[in-house]
Amino acid sequence: MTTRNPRLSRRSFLTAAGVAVALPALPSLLSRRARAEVTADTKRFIALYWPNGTTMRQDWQLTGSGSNYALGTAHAALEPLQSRLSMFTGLDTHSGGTPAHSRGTAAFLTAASISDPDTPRVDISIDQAIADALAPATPIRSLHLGPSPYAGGNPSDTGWSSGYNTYLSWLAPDAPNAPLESPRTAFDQIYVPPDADAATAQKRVALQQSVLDHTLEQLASIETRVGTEDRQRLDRYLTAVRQVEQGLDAPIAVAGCGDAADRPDDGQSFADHTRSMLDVLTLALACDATRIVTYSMDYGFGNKDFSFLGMGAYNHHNLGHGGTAPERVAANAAIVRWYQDQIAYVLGQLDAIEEDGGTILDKSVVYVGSDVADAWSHAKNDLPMMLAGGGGGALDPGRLIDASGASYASILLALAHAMDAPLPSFAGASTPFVGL
Amino acid sequence: MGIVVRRWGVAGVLRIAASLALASVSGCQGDTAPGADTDGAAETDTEDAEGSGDSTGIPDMPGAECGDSPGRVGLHRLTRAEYNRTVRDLFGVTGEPANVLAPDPTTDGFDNNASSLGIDPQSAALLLEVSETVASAAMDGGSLPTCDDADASCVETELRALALRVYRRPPSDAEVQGLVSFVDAALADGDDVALGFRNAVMAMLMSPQFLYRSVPPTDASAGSGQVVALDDYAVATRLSYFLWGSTPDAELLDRAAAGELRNATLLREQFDRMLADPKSDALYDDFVTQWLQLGKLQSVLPSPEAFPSFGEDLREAMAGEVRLFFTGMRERDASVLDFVAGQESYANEALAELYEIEGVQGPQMVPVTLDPDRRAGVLTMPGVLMMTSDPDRTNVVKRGVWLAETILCLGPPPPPDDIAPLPDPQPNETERERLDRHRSDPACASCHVLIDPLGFSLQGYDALGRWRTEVDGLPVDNLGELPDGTTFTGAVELASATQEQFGTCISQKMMTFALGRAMESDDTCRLESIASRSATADASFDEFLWTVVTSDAFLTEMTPEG
Repeated sequence: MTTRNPRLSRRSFLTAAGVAVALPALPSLLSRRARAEVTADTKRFIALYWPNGTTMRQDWQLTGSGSNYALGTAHAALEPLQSRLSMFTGLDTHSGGTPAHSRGTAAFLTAASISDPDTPRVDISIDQAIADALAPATPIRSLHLGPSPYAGGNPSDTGWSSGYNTYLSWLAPDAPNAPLESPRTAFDQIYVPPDADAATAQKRVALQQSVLDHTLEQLASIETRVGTEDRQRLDRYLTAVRQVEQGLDAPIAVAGCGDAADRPDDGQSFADHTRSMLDVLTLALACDATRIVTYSMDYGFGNKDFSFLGMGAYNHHNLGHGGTAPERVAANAAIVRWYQDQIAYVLGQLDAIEEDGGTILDKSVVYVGSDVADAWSHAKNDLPMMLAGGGGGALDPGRLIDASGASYASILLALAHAMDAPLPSFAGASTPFVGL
Repeated sequence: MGIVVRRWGVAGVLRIAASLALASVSGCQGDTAPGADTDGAAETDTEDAEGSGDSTGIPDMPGAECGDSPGRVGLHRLTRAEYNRTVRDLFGVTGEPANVLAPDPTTDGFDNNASSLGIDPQSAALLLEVSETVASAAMDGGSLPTCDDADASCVETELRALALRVYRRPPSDAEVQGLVSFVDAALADGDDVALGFRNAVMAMLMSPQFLYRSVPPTDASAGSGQVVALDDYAVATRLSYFLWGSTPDAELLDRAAAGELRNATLLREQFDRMLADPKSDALYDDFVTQWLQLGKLQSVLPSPEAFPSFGEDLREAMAGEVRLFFTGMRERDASVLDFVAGQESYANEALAELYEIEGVQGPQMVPVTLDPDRRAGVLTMPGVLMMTSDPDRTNVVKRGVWLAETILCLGPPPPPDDIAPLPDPQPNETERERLDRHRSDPACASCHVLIDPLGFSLQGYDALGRWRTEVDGLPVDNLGELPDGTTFTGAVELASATQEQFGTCISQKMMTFALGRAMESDDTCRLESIASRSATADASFDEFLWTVVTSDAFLTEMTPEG
């Protein structure tokens, strides 16, 4: 067993102190570690996803061009933010074919196509390519959030693995980042209680590091005696353990960032869960716990119960295939509008946090979209995607962006370049889309 | 036809029984599954006629007569549910500590598909916290050994015994030493030996030997592409996660140590013992609920306007009925066919009212006998019929899809890319007329020609599962049709017309679950063999499970590609 210099981390503070106890901060302890530097150049990448697209695009009518454009009926809540976001027109992920929802969801951040119903396999996603390139020195390399749990397992699309609907983010073709469905667990990954006993915390981190070193030793010894496929499985675990170790090493951002009173409950209604996750997302960025976040507000093929909108007892996905009766169309439009309300809410939260160089929204690339253009037909052309934030000056928000004919990979590559991630290519595209 | 065998490390010479290579008796003989690849399995090995002491020990393994590859599952991460039960059984730690992790994906209907179960950075960070939580709870609960601080030999002995249980096979000396160092470090730090054991347990819980079901103790990749028998510990582990969804207990590990799990009689003793244990309820929680997609029952929302009498207590009774029906089937030694034909069920007052059974009072579920002219096992259970309905009406397509996916394993060709929505109902149009109109679109016809005629057979039950003779003022139209053109009326005739398909389908589902891998073309003959042996009226459900357990794909595997 190797022992290393114990360091302090958010995680060790959290459990060592217990979040419910509020003791005075220990400035002497914290000052020994420098805060991860948030500068005017610090950028964030945020991907937000909702399923099932629009209501036959009746609520997503974008008119005009350039900076002179009008939003659709789904976008009332976004109107105050219109100068801070751009809408795409003519954007196509080229992910047609069945299973339509799984293909669209898999392509959202990867531009990749899928072929194996029995093993979730896609390709590296743009958030992970950005994380690889920038390697931000934050405790959490990237944070992945999901909706409230589905009682009977996540939705599968015509018999394909539910993983295709569940995972937006991929470290590698066979290595998805599974999203957290517990806002409480997510909060606990981020929040640093202002109190902590230094000796206890140090000892705990030392133990965690010893345990992870032991895991790595076991993996190394086992890898020599298994076949190729098993070695790949072990390699994924090994990569994951190394990243956890790096997180243990990462310096503390701000002790006491956030408030223990805001620790969310699990088992909330879908609407309350969504709000809690958006708050956790904001907290994670404000505390600089991470700079890269993906959030599936619901999974591909999402079938959440939206009776709370008072438009009838409907499940989202089923509703889109439930005919064109006016009350059903109206209920679907209310769902799409509700998702845009959530997006407006979190953009507003990010815009409320001032840092060196502007608000977090000013310094972020926020990419938002869905798997299909239209829940009725599964069409993939003219997808409802939007781009918010200033990207620290790299984006020119407040416009209609005509992406007709563009390769989808070139758009994702352009997002990476807006993040200052110097990728020479992504998913086969080596020339980034111009005009974000 | 013969099977190549090879040595597998310390376990000695493992051989597939010579009997395995004998001519088959099954109707599968001569069948060549499409795409079957028998590389390496088609050669004759001159050694395979020797004794069977080091083989699987099972004469006439179901599926072996096919001569197809038994496949390979590979490293198999514990699911969330398996992790929770495992730490419960190892350390008495309850509270489902692994539920902070993301849920496991559903592949081929089940969440235990080995090729879909990975570990990502976020999960690894949470696993580290869970391992600490569990280890601390084990220490606080008195589930960890104790030694005098100075007694190094006691520490080593105890850790060796603990690692055997946690890793599900004897640890190597190096593995034990790696764990001992955690106790040494704790003592050097001024802590007591109890904390050292806790830390060692935390390290074990993060080890691949724990998180993956059966890590090979020695080089498994030499001589790739050959069929080998699983060793005793691998058999114990596969059996235990199949029947209990949890780790082998001390007795099973003892039997493995004695080399008794590659003996048909002794394996059967363990199999019977495990099925008699309440832990085998996991077969319901993990297999039945996922197979029948019962999770949907929790999310369906009957409209209060259409069904004012519906309440959560009724939903609970509907779910309870399926569980009790399954338990009852096993207790009666009923055939697996009872799933689609059985009449011996359970109901409380509210459920009995749906069934039109008189004399049941109160919330307690009691045994009832269903009307054999109207009811056919799970096919007509209110829970199933409700979860495949819309909030206010029945849905022929949903019920057809459910029958195709779960009962007949007719994977419908996927819907086309651009789906035309189902046409809205026209005035005075019957459901059949509306769906006929839908099928007149050739893009829709390809799969709805399969789905819709199945779904119609359940039209005799409303959206809560009540028997009905009229739909919207017209007589019930429950004429169904199978893809081969066979027609039938209602669920009872559906069950009898599809008995054979159901037998093969449940074999496919059970094998997918038992192995944690997708069934492929190489499995076609094997599944027919299992179905013809035990998915029959004269074999009990437990015999069906025994056929699965003794199949070549359960007890043998291909060696991996280096």
